[in-house]
Amino acid sequence: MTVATAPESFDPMITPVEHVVTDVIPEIPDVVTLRMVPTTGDVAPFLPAQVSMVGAFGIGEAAISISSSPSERAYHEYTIRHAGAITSALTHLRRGDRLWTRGPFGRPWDLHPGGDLVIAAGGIGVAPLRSAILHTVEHRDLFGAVVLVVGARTSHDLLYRREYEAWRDAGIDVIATIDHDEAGWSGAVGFVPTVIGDLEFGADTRALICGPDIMMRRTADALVAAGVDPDRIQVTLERNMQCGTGRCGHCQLGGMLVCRDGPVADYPSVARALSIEEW
Amino acid sequence: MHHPTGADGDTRRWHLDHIAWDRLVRQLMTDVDEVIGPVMRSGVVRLRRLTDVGDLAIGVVDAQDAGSYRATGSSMPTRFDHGPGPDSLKAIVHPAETPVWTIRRRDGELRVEPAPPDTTTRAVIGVRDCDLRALQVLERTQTSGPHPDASFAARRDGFVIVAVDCTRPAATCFCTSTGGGPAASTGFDIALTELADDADVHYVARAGSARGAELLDLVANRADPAVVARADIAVASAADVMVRTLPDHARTIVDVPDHARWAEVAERCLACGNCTAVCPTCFCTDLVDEVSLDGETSTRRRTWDTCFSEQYSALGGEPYRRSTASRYRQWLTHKLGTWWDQFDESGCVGCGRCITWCPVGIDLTDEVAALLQPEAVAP
Amino acid sequence: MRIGDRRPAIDWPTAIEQGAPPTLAVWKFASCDGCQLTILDCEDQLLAIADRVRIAYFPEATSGSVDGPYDISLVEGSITTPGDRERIAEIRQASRLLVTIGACATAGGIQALRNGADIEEFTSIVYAQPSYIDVLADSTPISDHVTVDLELRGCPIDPGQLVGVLAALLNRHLVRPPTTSVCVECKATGAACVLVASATPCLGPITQGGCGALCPGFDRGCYGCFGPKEHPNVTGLRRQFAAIGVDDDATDRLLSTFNVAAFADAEQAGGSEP
Ligand code: SF4
Ligand code: SF4
Ligand code: SF4
Ligand code: SF4
Ligand code: FES
Repeated sequence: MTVATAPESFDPMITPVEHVVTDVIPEIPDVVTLRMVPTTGDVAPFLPAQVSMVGAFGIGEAAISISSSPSERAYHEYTIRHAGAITSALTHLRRGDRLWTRGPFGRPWDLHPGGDLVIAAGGIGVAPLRSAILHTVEHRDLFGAVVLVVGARTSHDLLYRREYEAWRDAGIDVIATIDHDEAGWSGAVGFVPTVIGDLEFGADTRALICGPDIMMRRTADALVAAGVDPDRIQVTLERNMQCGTGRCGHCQLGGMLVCRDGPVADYPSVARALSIEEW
Repeated sequence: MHHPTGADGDTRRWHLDHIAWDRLVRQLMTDVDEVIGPVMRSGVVRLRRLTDVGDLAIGVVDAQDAGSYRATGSSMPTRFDHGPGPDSLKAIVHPAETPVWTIRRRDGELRVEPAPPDTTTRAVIGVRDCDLRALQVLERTQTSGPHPDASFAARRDGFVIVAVDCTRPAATCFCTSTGGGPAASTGFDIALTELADDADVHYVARAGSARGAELLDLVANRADPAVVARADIAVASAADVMVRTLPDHARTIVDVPDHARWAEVAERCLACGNCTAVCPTCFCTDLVDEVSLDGETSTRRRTWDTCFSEQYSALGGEPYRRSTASRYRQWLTHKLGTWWDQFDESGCVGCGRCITWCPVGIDLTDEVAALLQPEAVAP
Repeated sequence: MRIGDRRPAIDWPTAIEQGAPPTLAVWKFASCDGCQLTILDCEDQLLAIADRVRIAYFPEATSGSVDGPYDISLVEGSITTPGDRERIAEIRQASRLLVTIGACATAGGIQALRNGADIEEFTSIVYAQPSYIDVLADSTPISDHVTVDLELRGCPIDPGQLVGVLAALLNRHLVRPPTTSVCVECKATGAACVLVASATPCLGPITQGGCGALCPGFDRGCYGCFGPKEHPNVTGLRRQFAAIGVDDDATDRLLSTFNVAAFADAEQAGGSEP
């Protein structure tokens, strides 16, 4: 998109960057992945768990994490669930439609090499983890054991299921679990924290968790009970974001401005905030 | 006794009689685009643009209390013998509505036109210490991060601030227990102490910047020590009249998120958002996109928002803070507690506006006192 | 609560691609015409886009056929007769989006003051041939009868808000009418608070914004014509009114002007907590 008055110093958090949708990939019901490229210039580099404000003309913006691989320089992918009017409109975009992003921004997952990795996702929470998963797939040798536990209500709600095979082939132990048993289901049944409770972890295990607040708390507690160092547990927070620049106040969670200090947080620093209702 | 000084310990003092006063205001009117000061509107002292020296409210005193404001006339032609009105510098530097951008759509392509920064220069007359400190607090929220608001900075840079020491704080003021006031302490170009005697109102002034000193040299003479001493006494005695206080450990209210007082105050609170609107440091904003009838242009405005709104916390249409209790708790814990985590200071400067302008008179100093009481154990 | 129910923002921009021109129908039930006049006032602006939208007016909702389908139906007025009831069901059937406009449609309007009164006694006093009068016992809002996608509050509605909402809907864009109080608009527009500064009773703190604080801007208390905001703490405001010398009866009268039962229902439903 053209910017009429060129600002002195271009800040991609303030001035939107026009993108075009190059592909719309239907995922599970109500969820699509939009693949997009900027109409001019390069695809912006980012780190796993980083977020952009994704906006469409006349619709508004929503904060969405980038779900493609950080090494993928040809496009960005955003997996979007139809929840509320803005994301609903975004899920109806088609190939060739223009939209914009402000970003990427936010604190990424700490993916320092070494040690075991446990990645726990609840429902759509696997989307903000996908770029981290793809990163470990590409750099499998940098980590010890890598286990991914994905939980969903039913087998039809398991996001990115078609990619499990490639992830397994790369040496990731993918455990998919659904809330209640279904005919023809051969995987795990039960909630993510329960599945985690049945696993064993080494002392150098690092954990990445994304899902609803309650799921993250229970999972973190299960990990701690299983001997994982609380300081090595990271969660990613989701709050209403408007500005993404730390100035509008909407994304507050206690002492945090999630857009400025998050979305990734060390679990001990947010455990209390997550446990207070309506905090 | 503490002697207020200008910038860098500048001890020079000027004296302004009513002729010098008029000269100062006229000089400001030629120097800047807009001169803003206290004027009377609908029975309330407001900060509004002056078109003439005579627009300033004269001879007004006010009586403020929780949920109540009355301005009345006094026999003395004072200009600043009242407490803070509902407006602070926030409404000027961080306005209720700011244009952000216009996006035009042509043949599917988008063209963004960012709103140009507001470079209007403004002099503001009659700024109190609470508002000087609030400006710095607000400024930190909007310009200290990695993505500073250029418009805020531009408006701020365009300010010439003529501050006033408070000699008659409102009953709702408690600035001294938040570490400030009643004398103007920081961030002004000129600070005045108003003196009234024998139907004559005059001012002792000090400079807070080179620009302020130049202005004063231009319009006024130096003050003699006797009048300076009287000014200092008037300011010092103002501190003693403040009745409300905020305890030093007010921020510990974040430790009692389940205190019964939150639910109790929610019975009274209307979640109307007046407190956040009048608070000089509340910075929250919303982004509003509007499309033109022909569908070709979308404009984005930034408007004030309030954490008392249900939609404020809504994620995917679902509010996170549904109860009024949780919204009141967000306001008070943010102002006094979590502001420290976010910006390393308190978000409250003790101006008392939220007390006066709460339509049901909820007083945060009372709420804090109650929240810091251990809860009564159920029998 | 009859109005002020929270509904999700409408899921309308489902077709972002520009297809055939959208069709807009305007329907009238029992009301004073004030809201339609507001529409007519905006007609110049609407004419500018006449090639992009087809507009059909149905000034008397009881005549002519419904036909359709329509992309957007604006409905003014309340349901007061059995015929109205059938008619609104047909209109709902024929409309993709149904938007109610004004206090009559959203809350039953002033005519709902008759609710709870003896309707036969009313008609026998007012009309020479009461047997011609076929009315329901109550005047009820549209949402009592069919699903409503969006409500535009006010008595009458705010022209700026109407144009903004039409602009969004006709372009299949998002609309987000305010959910905050009139007080928020008072402060944004710089109106002096009449409740605090002159002890004038004002319904602003419990009333949904959208009017731009019209009445307080003229130093008058808000009459609540936009109806209750979310979580209206009616009891809390009543207490404050009592403190400034407004007794319960006066408060009740104030609460029942334009939106009649809506504030009372909200108060009954339990103060500030959901
Ligand atoms: S919280 Fe109240 S007293 Fe403190 S700065 Fe804000 S308005 Fe003033
Ligand atoms: S108290 Fe509320 S409105 Fe004020 S800055 Fe904090 S979150 Fe924003
Ligand atoms: S504390 Fe008072 S001003 Fe603030 S939202 Fe509640 S009722 Fe309104
Ligand atoms: S005048 Fe009424 S609407 Fe305006 S702030 Fe006061 S109480 Fe609220
Ligand atoms: S999204 Fe605005 S402060 Fe974080």
